Amino acid sequence: MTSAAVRRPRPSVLRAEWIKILGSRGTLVAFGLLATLPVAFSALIVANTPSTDPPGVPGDDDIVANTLVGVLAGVVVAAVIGATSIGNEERSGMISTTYTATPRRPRVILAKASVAVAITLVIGVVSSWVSYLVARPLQRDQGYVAPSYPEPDLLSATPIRAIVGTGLLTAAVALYAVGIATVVRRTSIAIPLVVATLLLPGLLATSDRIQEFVGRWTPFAGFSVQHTVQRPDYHAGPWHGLGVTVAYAVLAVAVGLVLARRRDTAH
Amino acid sequence: MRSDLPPPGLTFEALTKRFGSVVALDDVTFTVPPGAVTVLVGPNGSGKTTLMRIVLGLAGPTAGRALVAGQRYRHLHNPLTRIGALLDATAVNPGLTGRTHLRWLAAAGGIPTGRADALLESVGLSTAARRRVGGWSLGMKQRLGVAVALLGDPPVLMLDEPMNGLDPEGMVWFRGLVRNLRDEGRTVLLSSHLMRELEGIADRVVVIHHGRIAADAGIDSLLAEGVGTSGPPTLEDVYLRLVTTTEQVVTAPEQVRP
Repeated sequence: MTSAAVRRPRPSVLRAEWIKILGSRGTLVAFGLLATLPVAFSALIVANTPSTDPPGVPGDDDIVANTLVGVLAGVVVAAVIGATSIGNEERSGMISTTYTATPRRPRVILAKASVAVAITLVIGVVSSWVSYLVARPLQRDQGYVAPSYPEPDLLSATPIRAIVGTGLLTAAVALYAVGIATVVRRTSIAIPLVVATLLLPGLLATSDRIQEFVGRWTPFAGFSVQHTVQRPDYHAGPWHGLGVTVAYAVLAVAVGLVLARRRDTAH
Repeated sequence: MRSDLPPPGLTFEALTKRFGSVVALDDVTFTVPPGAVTVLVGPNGSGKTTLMRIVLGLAGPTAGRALVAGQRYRHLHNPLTRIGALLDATAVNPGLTGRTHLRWLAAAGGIPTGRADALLESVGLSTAARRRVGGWSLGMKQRLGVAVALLGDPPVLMLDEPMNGLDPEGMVWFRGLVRNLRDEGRTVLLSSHLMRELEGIADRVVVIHHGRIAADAGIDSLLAEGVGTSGPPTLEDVYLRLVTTTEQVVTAPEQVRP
């Protein structure tokens, strides 16, 4: 009955979560969208945005940030990946089996968060590099050329920070979504919550004071990691802004961990 | 019961669970011994599933405790190898294949992957294993649920209404499986709301009604209780009498309480 002689592998929550996410049909589609949608969105916008600066005058547009605008689509997909990793299980009830195999529930949540962050980070960084490389030539065709817009030096720190930072932002949003989905336990509530708190502040900000607050202290602040120039409508430093978004994500996960330990699972 | 004997497979000590003002379990005390099939019977909503969820730590008791081999579930080392459970067979992400489902569970439980494939074969799912569970029948999901419970080769098994959705062939298969598990000396706790399907596999019946134990007796003494009605007594007669008259607790003489 007890088979102590048989050698058993070590239990690995992380491996279990990898198997789940790679075995689900929906998530693989989501990975594909995360890789392609930002590139297509960036290309579409940049190809239809001509430069309005007269030749010879230094321009004030942030051309690197503009080639990365597709992240607006990327963060939505990242929110879906993060939220479904826990929400799917809450919906089907499989979370009970998961917690039966791993009674230390915080380990499960942290494993899900790690997997979602790892995947969205890798795909996010690749897709933001591709976005830049695809969109920049289209942008040149629209008049964003020297002398008004000198070609960005891809070996210098600022453009690299903007491009890699876009991938980091994508991963931060996935983490935020894991946290929110753990708290609300419903994908259909978690995704709109994440998207709304992330993007709406940027749209709703009307007065300058509100805009400044939104740019510095809401999850929307994370987009400042893409900034490569000084502009009056840029309110947060790049790392400050990303740090704020990450802080919201960490807070959401922390609340999720506390609740997951306490609550009975839903049937 | 001598104190140096190993603890019974499952122990319920004054277990109470309230959901707001609803009392789901009310001071439930009984033990489930190894080498026998104990059946928990009661109408829908009587507390059977809640009891099993508390064993697995999925729900916390309001008072009292449930122990697996003398320990709380969350203190078990490699819990899947100590107790196997089937609660809701339909609770699987529909997008996963049966094989993937067993494989992630094996990874989480520290169980060799080869065991997952062998089990799929032995529960009769080898042809369906690579298809997504969303398209499976309830009977197939029940078989997968049984495979999940058996994955860690545990000495204690706890199955909630495992015969729902099984076809006649599946019933025969399941009865044989349960008898084998008992004969191997394992502790088996089954639940059901259909008495008829239990005849022939139950050694002992615990009737639960409104969250309380209405009867707890060996199968023979329960059937003897039913004598007096016309024809040979069936478990169903006994059960219906118990859940309609209630309050009176039948306890067989051989019943051992901790």
